[in-house]
Amino acid sequence: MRYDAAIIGAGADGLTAAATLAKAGLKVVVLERAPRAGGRLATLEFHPGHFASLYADAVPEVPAAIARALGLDLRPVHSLPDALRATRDAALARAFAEAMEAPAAGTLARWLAPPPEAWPGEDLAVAELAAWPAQRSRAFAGRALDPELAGSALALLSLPLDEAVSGGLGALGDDFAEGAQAAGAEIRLRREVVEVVIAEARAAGVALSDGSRVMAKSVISTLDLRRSLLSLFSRTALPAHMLEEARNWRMAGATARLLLALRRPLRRETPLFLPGDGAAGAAFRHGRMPEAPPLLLDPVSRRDLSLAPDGAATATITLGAIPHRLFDGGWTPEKRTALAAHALARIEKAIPGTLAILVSVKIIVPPDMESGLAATAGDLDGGVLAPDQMLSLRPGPRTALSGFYLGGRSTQAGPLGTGAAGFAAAAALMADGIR
Amino acid sequence: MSERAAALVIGASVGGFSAAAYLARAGLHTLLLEAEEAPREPGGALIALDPRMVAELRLPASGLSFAARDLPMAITGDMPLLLGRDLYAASAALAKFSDADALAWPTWRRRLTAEARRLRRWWWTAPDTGVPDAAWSAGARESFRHLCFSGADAYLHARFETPSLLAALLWDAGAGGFAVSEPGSALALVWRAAQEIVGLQDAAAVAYPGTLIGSLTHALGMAQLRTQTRVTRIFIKSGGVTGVALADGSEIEADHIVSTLSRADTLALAGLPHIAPSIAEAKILLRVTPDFAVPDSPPARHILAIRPDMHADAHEAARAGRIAADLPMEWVTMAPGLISVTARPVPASLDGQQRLKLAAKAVLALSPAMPGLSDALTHVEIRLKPQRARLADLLAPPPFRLLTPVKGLLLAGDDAEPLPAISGRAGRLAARLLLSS
Repeated sequence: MRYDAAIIGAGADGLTAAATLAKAGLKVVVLERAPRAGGRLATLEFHPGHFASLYADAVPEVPAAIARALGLDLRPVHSLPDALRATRDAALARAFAEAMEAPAAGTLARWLAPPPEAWPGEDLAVAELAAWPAQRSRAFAGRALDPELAGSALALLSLPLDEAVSGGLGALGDDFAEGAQAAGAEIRLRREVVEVVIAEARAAGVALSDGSRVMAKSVISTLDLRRSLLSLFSRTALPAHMLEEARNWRMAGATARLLLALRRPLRRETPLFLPGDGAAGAAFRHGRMPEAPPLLLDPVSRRDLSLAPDGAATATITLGAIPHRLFDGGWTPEKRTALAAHALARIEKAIPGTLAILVSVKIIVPPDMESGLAATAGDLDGGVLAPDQMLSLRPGPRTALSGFYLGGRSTQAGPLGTGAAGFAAAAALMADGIR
Repeated sequence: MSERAAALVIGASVGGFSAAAYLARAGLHTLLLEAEEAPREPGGALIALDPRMVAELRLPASGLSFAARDLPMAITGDMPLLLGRDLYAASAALAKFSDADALAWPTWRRRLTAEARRLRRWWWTAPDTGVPDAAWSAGARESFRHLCFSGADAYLHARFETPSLLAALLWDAGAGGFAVSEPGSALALVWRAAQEIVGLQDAAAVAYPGTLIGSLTHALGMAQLRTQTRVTRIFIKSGGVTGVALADGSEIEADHIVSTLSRADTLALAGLPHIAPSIAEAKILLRVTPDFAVPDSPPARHILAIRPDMHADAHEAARAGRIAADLPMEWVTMAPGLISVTARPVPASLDGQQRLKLAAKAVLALSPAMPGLSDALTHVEIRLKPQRARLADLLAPPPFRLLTPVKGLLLAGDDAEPLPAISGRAGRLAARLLLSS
């Protein structure tokens, strides 16, 4: 059986792409390595009765059209200043417009067709995050940015804004999967794609780790740029300039998370941000564990009672500037414990009495994110949020290989909205027509 | 007010001399005011001395001569390298450490030079169109846009792998106080390449002591140099300048003032709001006994930076008011017995302890190459130059860097250049702008 499209990865992007294509009457299959759909939209019962989202507490805004199409139940957790919202909407609109426009012959790839003019939001690429004090902590959480340097303001475009009404991000992931299935897409779990099959100079399907093949007229990869181009193809299958660009694409995970099960609610109702000290950035660059990284404590069960048993509480700590690779070897259990101890000591100082009600801690470091999400270096942004890797300078959904599309976080729409990159890839695929 | 002049120039730096000389040649009664006892020689290698100014003011005829020209970049340490203008020699030298870098070097230098040729116009003449030019090809525009948004570290890491080569090239990207990950720092590399193509002999040169200031003083002509004359206030009336107040209490009236102080200092004198930079570049002048042999043959600018990371670390430390443990430096020989060490970035203000520490660091950093330096040392002088490089300055045509919100008040100092440089070009352009208005 031959599908119209095979989609690699059942995260928000993959499921959005699947739903969009299935609604248009295409036969779509989503192939997911993990035993459940949702990707980073995952919630774990890390201690009996205590639930928390593994990779983040909230996600960048789901564009309204996608939320409607998939029937999602969302709650906005933060608001964005009007000027920033307008910039983000304009950038997203531009990304979608370029995806929907069928390209002229011979200009299939961004690599061959430079963007004509400045993108909305490129002024942020030369502005400092420090100039937005109200947004600074949330944009900074879980990252290794230097907020005083020009270019750091770009992180504002990927601020987390939405979360599930109840049940953590995992519930949102289930909603995405249900929406895609309701639209008619097929989701196959525990199927790992190892290679994209090429026939007659275009993508013709995917090969799985169990040796079988799934044939399709087009393939959308929601993996990051490096994994998509460097791990799914044999070395000679793609043009050299594409591979070089993928090799030069910088990815660096900097996020660690602590999930805390607490006997009683915290003595604080709102998130608490503790900025890092001046040495955190240098420690990150040198692969050392920073002593005082930027830290965001979020008492998540205050907003969502379903995350903790009656009378108890669940909170999360998101740490930034945590290196993926430590200079003195791997992330051993001792180093993980040390990281948690440092962070908890700082919390205890800010909110005395926290340690006394602590029942259990689950520690997630960048290598865990890498293995859990198949994200290079555990980078949750699909690439370092540097000015030269944002907006117009990111790849669009089309590639130099016909029938192969990128729909992951590394693409233009990726950091701007949840599911947006998947939607752009689906739009590009439909605009190009199925041959 | 007792005295009146047609134009005042504040600061007898190269830019100040240049502005005063051009104004006097146009027949304006011009005063050049200098706070110190005598004009000071620039301490360090000259970058980008304006060839047009050198020719028009006939500086070589009145004594300007160079001790060294076109200094190659020398990298010391475990991997000694000498990178000069000759692409093949540089490539051959690099081949000892990395085949990939040896291959990449000539291609990269040619690309950089091509970018520099395209951008030269915006840096030195006043174009009427914005950057990029409509006449550029789509590929040129794309590559320029990429440069605008690239930090030098990402840009260079994508091309080279030898750590000491990266560390040395990043030194140039940090000119003017850029952090090497900041957008604009990649363009600083292009700016440097542009200096090399225009100067031919002056990209990095050392003038014989006294000959630069001597020839510039000669070129002043009818303009008057007044030393020990510190300006304490710039008077403004209905949006235009009216004159200055001096430290001795007297006042001078003038409708036109060219300041070679930094933008922040000039606006402060005029009582206008300004942003003071938080980091600076330090010039450390080391005087040694004449018999001390400085190992500098062939003459070169020696970069003391081995780790690429040290630039970012030092920038963080400087903003926090500390001197980094590992501070990037460059040294050149100014004259027999005089070594100039440039260290950046450092905090914009240093207390006595920090100055001492900085001097000790410089001596320590040079010692492996110059055994016996600390014994031969006779005198140390530290000059600080606050810096605030901005991408906007690298992209704006000259008038925007020279103009201030005040009518008749122009800037012509080192930081009226796209990146701080002792060139005299800003002085020439400021004089022209003033005369045409």
